[in-house]
Formats: sequence, C-alpha cells, structure tokens
Amino acid sequence: MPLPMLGRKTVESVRDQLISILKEMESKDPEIEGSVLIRADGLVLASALPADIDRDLVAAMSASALNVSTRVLEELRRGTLENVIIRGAMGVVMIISVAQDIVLAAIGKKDANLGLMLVEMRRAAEKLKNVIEKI
Amino acid sequence: MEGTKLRNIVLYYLLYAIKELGINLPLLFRRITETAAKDIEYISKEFYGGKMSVTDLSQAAKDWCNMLKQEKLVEDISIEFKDNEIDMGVSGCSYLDVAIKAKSRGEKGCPVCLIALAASVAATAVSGISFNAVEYSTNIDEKKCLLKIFYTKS
Repeated sequence: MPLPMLGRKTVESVRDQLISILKEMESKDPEIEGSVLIRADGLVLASALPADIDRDLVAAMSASALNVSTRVLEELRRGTLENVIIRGAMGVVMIISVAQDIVLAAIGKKDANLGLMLVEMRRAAEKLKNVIEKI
Repeated sequence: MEGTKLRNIVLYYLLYAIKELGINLPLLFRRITETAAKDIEYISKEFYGGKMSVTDLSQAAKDWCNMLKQEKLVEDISIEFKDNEIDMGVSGCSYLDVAIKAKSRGEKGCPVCLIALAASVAATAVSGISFNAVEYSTNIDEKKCLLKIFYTKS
C-alpha cells in the first residue's frame, strides 16, 4: 500500500514528530544507541541511527528479520510475533511490531538490560502508533 | 524466444521460494530498486547507448519504456503521468508465463512484476524522487497488465 500523499510540510512535520519520539526513547534508556521506524517493505519512516550506519540497508535487514521470524512462528504455530532479539558479541538489536506492517528496530549496548529496553520500546511504539494513525 | 518459458517458470519457483522462506516480496522489490538505481550509469551505457535521462522523470520513464521494447521484454507500453503516480499499460509481457503459473496455483499474479521493477528503478534514479509503492494486475486472456508506480518528491 502506498503512503498517503501528503504535502511536503506535512511529511516533514510527521517525520519530525516520529524522530522526536525515537530520541525521547533513547534519552530514557541510554543503553539504546540508535533506532529506526520501518515499513514492512523496508521504507524508512523515521531514523535516529548513528550517522555511520547505512539506514536503508539496516531497515531492509530489520524488515527481513521480522518477516522471516514471523514466517517461522507461523510455520511452527507459535502465534503472532511480539519481538525479535538478536544478540551479538558487541551488542543487541531488538525489533518490535508497532502497527500492521510497521516495525521499530533499536540497537543496544553490549550489556543492555533487555527488559528495560523492551519497556521503553513498547512505550515509544504506542506513541509512534498514535502519530501514524492520525495521518 | 527459445527457453523463455522455462526461464520464466524457474523465475517463478525462485520468487516463490523466497516468499515461502518469509522474505516479503515488496521488501525485495524495494531493495532491488535501490541497488539498480545506484547502477543506472551501467544500465544506460549497456542497454541505451548512455542516453537515459536521470534528471527528468517523464523522459526517464519514456527512455525505460523504449529500452524494454528494444530488449523485447514487452510488445508495447502506454504511459500516463498523474500526481505522484505513473500508470502503465503493458501488452505482451515476456514474463506472462510467470503470471500464468502463479494464477494456476491460486495466486493473484506475478509474485514480483519485473516491468514495474524497471519503472521504479527509472523513477528512483531521478534525483529528488523516491519510490513509494507499486500495484499491478494482469489480464492473461488479453495479455495485458496495468501497473501503478507511486513515488514521492523530496
């Protein structure tokens, strides 16, 4: 589904609101080092990722991780997807669903408290959903 | 062209397997668009004598349509520009076997429309244009497809 056709000022204003919610989430949990709001087809809706990260590629990979995880749950009859957590030696990536076809991905520090990170992401997801639903 | 049908059926199986593994095909579509748009110089040089427009959207779309006809991927294409939308009517697509195979298995049509993909690459290669989404449908009996490419101006 295409995004609604909005004027440039409206698009910028919505994007600013979304980015401000992402930054607020990062300030509440300093273990979150970056975040991005993505449509399921990989379109970046808002990004607060560090500048040295290829946001389009990260968005595509996050959407892909979510797609594949959803498919695994479906095949194994484990219900709807709640979140995806990828833990590496240098940190963590967490992906949660915000609304239908929209996901929030966040990268966290090596020893990030996953419970706290998830709580802050869910709070942000509610706010992001409210902004998106008003479009 | 010899081997075209077999190529198309193999293409169908490839796309079906990708989808079955959980990769969202619109996601694949967007990623290919972004990758190919960055390689526009090569495509233009290799298939259109280096004359493909990357500054004017309507010219870019027309150039791509000519290239698709030249390469015999389609028999004919009509094109109409609307606000943030390009509508295309395609006749005699060389990938029609993909749609036929997909429909025979209860699917709506081609898993990915390769002509729409080409059009979205053309749009994305133009500075200031971002690909938004695509819609397409096929009438197999008439060998005609209708494509809608949605884009945004930045």
